[in-house]
Amino acid sequence: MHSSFSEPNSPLKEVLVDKWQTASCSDLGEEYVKPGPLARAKFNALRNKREAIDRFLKKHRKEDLSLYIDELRDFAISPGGLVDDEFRAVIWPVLSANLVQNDDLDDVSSSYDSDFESAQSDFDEEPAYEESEELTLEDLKGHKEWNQVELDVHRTLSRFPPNISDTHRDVLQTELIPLIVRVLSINPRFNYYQGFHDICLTVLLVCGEVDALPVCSNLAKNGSFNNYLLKTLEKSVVRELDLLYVILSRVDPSLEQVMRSVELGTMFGLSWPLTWFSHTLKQYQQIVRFFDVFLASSPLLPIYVSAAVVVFRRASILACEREMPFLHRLLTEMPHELPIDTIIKDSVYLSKLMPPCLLKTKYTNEYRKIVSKPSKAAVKTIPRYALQFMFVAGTVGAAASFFFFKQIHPM
Amino acid sequence: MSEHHVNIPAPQFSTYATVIDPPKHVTATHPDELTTASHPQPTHPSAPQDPSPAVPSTPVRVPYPTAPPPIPPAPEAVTAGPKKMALAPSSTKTYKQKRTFKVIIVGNAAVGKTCLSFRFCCGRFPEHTEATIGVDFRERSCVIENELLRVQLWDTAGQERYRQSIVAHYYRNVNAVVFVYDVTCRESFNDLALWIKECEKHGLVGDSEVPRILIGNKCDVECTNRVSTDEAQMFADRNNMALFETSAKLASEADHVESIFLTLLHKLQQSKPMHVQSQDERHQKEQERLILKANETENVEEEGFCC
Repeated sequence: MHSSFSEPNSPLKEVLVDKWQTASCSDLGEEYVKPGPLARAKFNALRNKREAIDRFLKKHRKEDLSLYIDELRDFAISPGGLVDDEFRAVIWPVLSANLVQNDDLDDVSSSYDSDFESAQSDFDEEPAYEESEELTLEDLKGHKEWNQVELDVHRTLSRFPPNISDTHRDVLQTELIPLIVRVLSINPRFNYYQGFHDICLTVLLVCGEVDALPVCSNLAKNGSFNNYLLKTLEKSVVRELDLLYVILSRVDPSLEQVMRSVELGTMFGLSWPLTWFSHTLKQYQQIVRFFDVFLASSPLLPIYVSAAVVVFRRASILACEREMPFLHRLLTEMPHELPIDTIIKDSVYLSKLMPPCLLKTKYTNEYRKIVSKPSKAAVKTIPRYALQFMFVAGTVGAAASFFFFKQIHPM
Repeated sequence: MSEHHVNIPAPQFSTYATVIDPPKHVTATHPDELTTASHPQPTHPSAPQDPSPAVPSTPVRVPYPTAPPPIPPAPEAVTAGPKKMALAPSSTKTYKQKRTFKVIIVGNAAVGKTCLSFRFCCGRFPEHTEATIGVDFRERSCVIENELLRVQLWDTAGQERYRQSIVAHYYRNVNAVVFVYDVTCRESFNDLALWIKECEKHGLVGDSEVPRILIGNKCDVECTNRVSTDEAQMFADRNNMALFETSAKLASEADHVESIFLTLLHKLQQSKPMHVQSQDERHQKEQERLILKANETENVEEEGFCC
């Protein structure tokens, strides 16, 4: 039985009858049964937001939702995200069809811009898209990556998602493997990497088979995964992860110095942008919450989230044995209780304070000077109270900010 | 101090599947000592057609510790030389030496690298393992000849996309390399040449001080076109590696997996290259080791502990 926080259920549920009955809310169910003012405040905030999204979708049921892309992005980014898979199934296709490409000011970085342009010119969208539609199952099985995809899907589905029957698991596998290979067939230059299957699985669970293909295709063509599928990992995701240290050097210089001194590198977070944290997080609700915000934000936001996660674990890092292997293992394992909304709020805050265009140019150059000249150069750090306040506020801040957003929205 | 302790040199452990062990020496001294139990002796039958070597039974198994490892209390009888300092029970200075070794596991995707590392470090076969993205780190400590060895095991992603760009960074400062293939998947065996080439690009050639071993996994799976032991042995010999065939999944093979890694640890502990020793060469090495031990005994009080 599909549980929800407010009764009666949305009429939209009947339209999405073919959607997978995953335990999308059971993760939260146990938590929200707990009494307490904070839990009740968050529960009420989520319920109010759910009603707001429901009213919005009903109001614009017959219109093209792309016209309201800004409102949808606000829903996705604000605390609680899109709240329910029923809404995600409707909104994710719209968000993926209107992905944030790059910041407008990104033209400053000519090298990155030329890379992106060359990637774009590699394929003609419409004919390739139609061609992939006509591929038969036999055609897909002949793809060079079919065997690897099958191996990864089989292993992943043996444990995730939890609480589904073996029959559903088999159907998922039957649908997921062709989905992934069909996406890879859009561009013959796409190279599958282990972890892309986690992305497609999450989309399939939320959107169902029919809508999953355009969503995954849009992510592969226009999202950050385009780089990962076309270029070597060294020139795509590893280069992005290097920006993690640039962010940390401005947010928490002493923490960054500890990580750099043990030559920690960035491999601890390799799966974070590659899979949008779906590989390392084990709770479904956390995963889809991250997908909400990534679908509605700059393709580089996962790097800011990675920085916020590292800062969140500051105490554990400083208490850990100062050796690279132990810090690597510590950071690789995501804590079970992760304040997702707080992490997202901090990440969005950081991305506005250090926009991607400046992060790749000005701040990276400053960081290189710091690294090359090991002196106590006075780097302007972000005031600590800005982040600390958000951590302390926690759920109360989340609830309050939602009410604030609610007031602004009618304007 | 009531019992007179004689330093008997450690027996030679066979590192080749087809090499017959010399007769086992029955050690009458300290049969119940915990450190003795950490020396299981793998037995390999002479018939090369046998894919599953017999697993010797060890009376006491060392428990799988979590870092930091619990230090067993040192028996009084351990102190043999009169010049040795009196060691308090459970003191960290119980061990003659402490060292850390970095071991990397490479091989094609889904051959069982993660399961093998789990079996050795955690003592169990993980029922559900997903693809390794990047590198994972696991650790275990072992005691060999009164020396505490800390093994840092780096489990790597096997897909080609990760091989060249990601895994490459982890060959640096490595002490040993473990190559894994799936005996039921011929492609994973054929690709070993690529893995070896990748390994040698980082200075880890067969003649170096870094030992390399080859593990054929999934021996429990029935397969028509499996990689034969003969074929694998020839490949291992050509590349100066020891060959082992096992299954990370079978509980009956758990001791074998452990003995494989312990064999590797013995090589690391001696810091000698892993190559075929002739009988004369082995005899010479034994004499050298005896001389070294005699000198070591005199300087034992001056030795410091280094990690």
